[in-house]
Amino acid sequence: MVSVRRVLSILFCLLMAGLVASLAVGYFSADGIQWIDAIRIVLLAASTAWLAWGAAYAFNGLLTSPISEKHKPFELAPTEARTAVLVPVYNEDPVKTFSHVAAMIGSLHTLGAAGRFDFAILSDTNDDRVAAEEERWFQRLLVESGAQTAIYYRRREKNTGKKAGNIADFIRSSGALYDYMIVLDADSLMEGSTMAEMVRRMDCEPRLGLLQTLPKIVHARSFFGRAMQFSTSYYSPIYTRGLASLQGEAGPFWGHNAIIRTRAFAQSCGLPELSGTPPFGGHILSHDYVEAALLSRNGWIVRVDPDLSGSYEEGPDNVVDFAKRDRRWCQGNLQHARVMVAPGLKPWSRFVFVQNIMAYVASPLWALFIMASIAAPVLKGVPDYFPEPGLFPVFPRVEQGLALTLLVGVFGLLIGPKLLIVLRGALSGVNERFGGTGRALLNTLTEILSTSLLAPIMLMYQCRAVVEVFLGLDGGWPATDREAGSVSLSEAWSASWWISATGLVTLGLAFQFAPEYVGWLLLVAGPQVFSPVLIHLSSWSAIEAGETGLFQTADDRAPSPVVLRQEAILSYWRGAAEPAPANQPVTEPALEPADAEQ
Amino acid sequence: MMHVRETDSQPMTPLRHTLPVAPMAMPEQVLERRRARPALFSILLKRLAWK
Repeated sequence: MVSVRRVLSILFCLLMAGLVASLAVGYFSADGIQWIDAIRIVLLAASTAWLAWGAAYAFNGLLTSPISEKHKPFELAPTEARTAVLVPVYNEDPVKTFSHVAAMIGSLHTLGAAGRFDFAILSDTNDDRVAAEEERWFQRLLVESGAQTAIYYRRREKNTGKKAGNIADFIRSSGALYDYMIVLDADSLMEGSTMAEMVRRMDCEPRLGLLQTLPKIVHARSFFGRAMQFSTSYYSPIYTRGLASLQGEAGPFWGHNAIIRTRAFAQSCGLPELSGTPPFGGHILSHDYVEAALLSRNGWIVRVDPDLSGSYEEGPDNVVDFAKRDRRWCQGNLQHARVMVAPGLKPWSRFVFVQNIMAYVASPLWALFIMASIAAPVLKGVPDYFPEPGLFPVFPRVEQGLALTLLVGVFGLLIGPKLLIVLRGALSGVNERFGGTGRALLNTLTEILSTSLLAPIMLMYQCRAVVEVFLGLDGGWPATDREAGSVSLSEAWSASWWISATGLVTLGLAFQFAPEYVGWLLLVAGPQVFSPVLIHLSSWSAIEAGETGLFQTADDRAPSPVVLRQEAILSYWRGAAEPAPANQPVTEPALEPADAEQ
Repeated sequence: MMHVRETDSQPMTPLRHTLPVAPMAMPEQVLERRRARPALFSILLKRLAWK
């Protein structure tokens, strides 16, 4: 069945690309077709196929999701397995990271499963001041988290191999003690029941090497962050179900919020350094997808279970931080060009690497299409009004109807799945958790509008990232600032003036050489011209607007206990709450509001 | 004068909470195919040189 779905999905993409190409032939050939038109058609067809692939995930998800899902109440299953919960950190705020750890320990404690899990904070921090704070807060974590769960802290002198090297170092030193590892990020949060359920599923399927959850974004404050939070909460479960239905046993690893069979990982995932220098050689940056492929190569099942709730992460709260993270991911994904030819990989794993590359190459393809469209009238020259043989002059046809159909078709692939998700939500009752169908639809339309405005800006950041990687510039490994606040107008200007300039130049060239395209290009170049303003405005706090229902999610209406617990611990540790007597565990006084919510 | 020593009153240090030692082998995987052309070239060179 997986193969049938894969073939149908690929055929759907080819069909969409073919349809758009045939419409484009009709539109571009109005004044005669030349080589530049052929280039434009190929670029447009490739870009459309990529958009259609995203839509195919959604359609598969919609078709495979049961309308009414019944969740079994959680029961703590017996297990002999020992699990290490790994929290790799790299110059992150220790108070915040350790509040996440304390909340998860508290959640396991409440469940009566705290003794099954050991927590290991694996520090790669190279800033001595942050490292000193880590040690200080680790003491507090130890004192306040009770004695049932073992907590370890280890700091590496050199962060060889970055995060993948950090995990490998743990396995090589302590891996034999543990059946499973739950790999987290510094900002990850998981319910104790989710962790226990993951262990149960690993126990049930001995061939399961890795089980990935779908983390939802929490704690977003800005307009941009809350739009992303709404997307991961409302659309992502459907897209992920589609992904799961297509990937079969060769599923994804997103680097965190997943459980891994230690033996399988140790046997399969020792990553070598690639020959040559960065950005294409050296350490593998986007190691997670490579590890998933290597597990599959050794016959282990890699699976994503979208029904596993209680898995959370935080995301960047503004466009600039998002673009910084994207720069790192871009370099890692383009490096997959080196890995996709590794011997013995499953064909689907190789195809996944192609998708990862395409995720970043798609932006330059769109940019090239725009450039070719502006250049086309110049390169094609003056139309021949008196072709031979013929008695009468032939005037170029203006095929605005075809152009409109083309635009609707391309946008339909982006917007259509989201509107279908709203429809499904109305039928299944999911929308009730998002404030009702009216509210969900309004938020979906707002999200589509904001994404449409920000997409041309992201396109430019991705184009720059791809060009930088191809020029051999290494992006390094900057820590993600997940608590960064709003971006001032001057900061936004310094981060995006070149995008404004590009938008103005694009429009200027279009006015000069291709005035018939100015209207269309405004959709792309318009937001680019105003990118500093858009970046600034989208980073404004949307917490108050959120209270009135903007980008409201199910977790806004009924927050997860572990999220409430973490918030309570953090405010207590940061001194917002009354200090508790010394040595009093954080499971007691600071958490009364959180426990009351449970 | 009587001193009362609590059994668990030692200050906690990271040393007490260092990772347990239980090594597991993690061999490096092969991700890159050997380049056939230089190897073939060097073999041919060697053979020609010998003759």
